[in-house]
Amino acid sequence: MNTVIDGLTEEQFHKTIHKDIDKPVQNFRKKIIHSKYRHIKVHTGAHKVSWAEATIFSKQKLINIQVYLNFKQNDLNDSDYKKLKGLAVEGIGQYWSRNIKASGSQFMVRVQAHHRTANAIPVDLYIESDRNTYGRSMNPAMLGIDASFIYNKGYLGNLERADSDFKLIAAHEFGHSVLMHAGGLPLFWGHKGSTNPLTQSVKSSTPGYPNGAPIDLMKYYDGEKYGADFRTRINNTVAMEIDIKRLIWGAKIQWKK
Amino acid sequence: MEKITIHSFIKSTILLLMFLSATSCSSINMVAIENNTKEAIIFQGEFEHQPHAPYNMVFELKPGENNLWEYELGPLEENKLDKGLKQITLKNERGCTIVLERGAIEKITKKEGPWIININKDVMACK
Repeated sequence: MNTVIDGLTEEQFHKTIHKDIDKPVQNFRKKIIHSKYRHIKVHTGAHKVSWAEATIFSKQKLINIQVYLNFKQNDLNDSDYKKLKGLAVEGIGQYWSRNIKASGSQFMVRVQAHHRTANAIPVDLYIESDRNTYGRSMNPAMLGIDASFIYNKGYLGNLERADSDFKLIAAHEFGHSVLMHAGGLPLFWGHKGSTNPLTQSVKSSTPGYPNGAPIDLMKYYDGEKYGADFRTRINNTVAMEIDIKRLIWGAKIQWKK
Repeated sequence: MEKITIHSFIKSTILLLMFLSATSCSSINMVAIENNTKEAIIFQGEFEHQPHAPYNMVFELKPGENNLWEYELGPLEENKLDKGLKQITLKNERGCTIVLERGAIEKITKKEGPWIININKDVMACK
């Protein structure tokens, strides 16, 4: 636990990650007597998700995170299933890999998604062929309900466009499982405070898309205040540092010299 | 403890059902703009959604290229071209500049999945 690499110990790294996302380092249990109900607050999901494993190569300042999803074929033929699975894996890797700062050091985070049937996020893959309907993907991340990743082949027509859209959507929907684990319903359904958790409509306080700056993968923006074109959204969107740290916080960690 | 679990389960189920019904109300729509000319075009769209300030969306479209943007429609809204779009300005490499107001934009737009604004040589016909 106290391995020192370039002045950074595993313990320091651990503390920093927890502090940066406002989580205690130690597991804790808190009893609150409130009205007639007794709420038992057990909050620590630290390093407990079954679908993420992080290996930290401290000397190389590299963090490899393996995440697991159970992609279900449903009615797709083998070729479509293979394609959608590949695009989802690619999208999660593309939008969730980035550099982060922890304990004053810069780490390169590489996220790799894999298909696995057990200990994985369940995902139903679908193709929407209707030309007039844009199928909305979702991930409730609770109650054993599968996420749905929808490839909008009909509406988007152009396959290159549909592929790019699907990669971004898969990365966003995967992120719901990260937010749900780290922050529960308000963080997850509220898209980090940008939407009303129930209606999913953007709040009046939600800003428009950032002009030229990175677009937060997990937030909704108010396109009526400032819109962004498709290419900009595809190219400028990225998972924010804090969400990468939330993913690391939930993942099982292995520290390597 | 059992009571708490059942209580939490019911609460979560109600929230989930409300979430699922709410998200199925609004729909995502898109507007695509296609450059069907042989020259690169700089597209500038002017948008205004009251009470917010107007803004411009600017991007380049190479020959044969397209780009799009997204907008949402409420459950009772008629499906028509993004109401926030007021005007577009198109400039090509030869310095030809075309300004199209809302009415003129609608004339070159058709619905094929997304709304598609077709920029062809007739649209880019500078005198």
